[in-house]
Amino acid sequence: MPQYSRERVAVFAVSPDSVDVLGAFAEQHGISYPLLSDEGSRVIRRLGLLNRHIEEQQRFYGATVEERHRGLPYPGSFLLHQSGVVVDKQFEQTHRVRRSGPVLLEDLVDGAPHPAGTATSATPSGVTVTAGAGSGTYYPLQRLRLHVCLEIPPGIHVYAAPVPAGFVPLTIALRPIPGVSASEVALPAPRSLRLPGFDEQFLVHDGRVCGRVGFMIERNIGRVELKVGVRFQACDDVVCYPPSYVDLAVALEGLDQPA
Amino acid sequence: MSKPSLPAIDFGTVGPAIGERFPDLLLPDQAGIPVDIHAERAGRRAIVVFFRSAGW
Repeated sequence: MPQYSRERVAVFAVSPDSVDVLGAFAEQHGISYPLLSDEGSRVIRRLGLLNRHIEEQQRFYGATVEERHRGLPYPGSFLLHQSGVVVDKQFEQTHRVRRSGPVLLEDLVDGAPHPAGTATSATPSGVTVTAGAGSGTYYPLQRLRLHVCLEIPPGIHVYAAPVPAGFVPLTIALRPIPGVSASEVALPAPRSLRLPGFDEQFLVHDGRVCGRVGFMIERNIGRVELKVGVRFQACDDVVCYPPSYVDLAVALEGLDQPA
Repeated sequence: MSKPSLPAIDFGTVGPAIGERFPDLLLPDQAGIPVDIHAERAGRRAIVVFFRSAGW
């Protein structure tokens, strides 16, 4: 996230690691924003962030509590307003799961998709479909999000479900992959459209429409290719194009947890 | 024996609350230089992330 750390949003990351561990990690990964060392977890305790559920959590995972688990914070983030007031906070239920940088920024800062477009396809109607995960890599149990966006030209709309007979609604489907758990696809609400000569209203999308799918990969299983099928029908006020079927693939390389 | 489950934690009451000023923190960074987060952010918005470890 270094591109965000200088101008708009300052980023600080706090852990119970020693300065030496953080120094080595920052050098290895080229991190320029402050990694703050709370060795002994004094600040973590003072802020009430010491993880007091570690025993139950380790039991759930069938693991034992080791010394290194004693001073852990609950994993999470605070967003501070320019004034220093907390305006949002987001926590994970367990220390095993972490959010990726792009997911964190989307959830806390922008509230808007952050697609690093890695696959794009144009269709005859002029609608362009892009899919991206905001990252070309993953760590095990990192929360990631795939954005699939349609750029719909002015004067064109695509239909949303439910559609009248003969029309194809917008659907986005992620092909299941063993070892990858994915959420349902979330699409924005359509708007209603009344066309001249029709009594009924239609539900449509226009402009820029982005569907989102949260996903997580349990272990480093190497290169993962997420395959997305996008199906839609584009129309203007007079004519409809044939339904479009777009397949996109987004590749992510697996990384092990920092050793 | 019942299957263990993950405890459900209400994070609304954990740590600094929404609407409160985030406390002053002074901690050494990766170079060992003390950083005061409110001074360092210099009026910018900020994300403060708490994470388990850079080492494991």
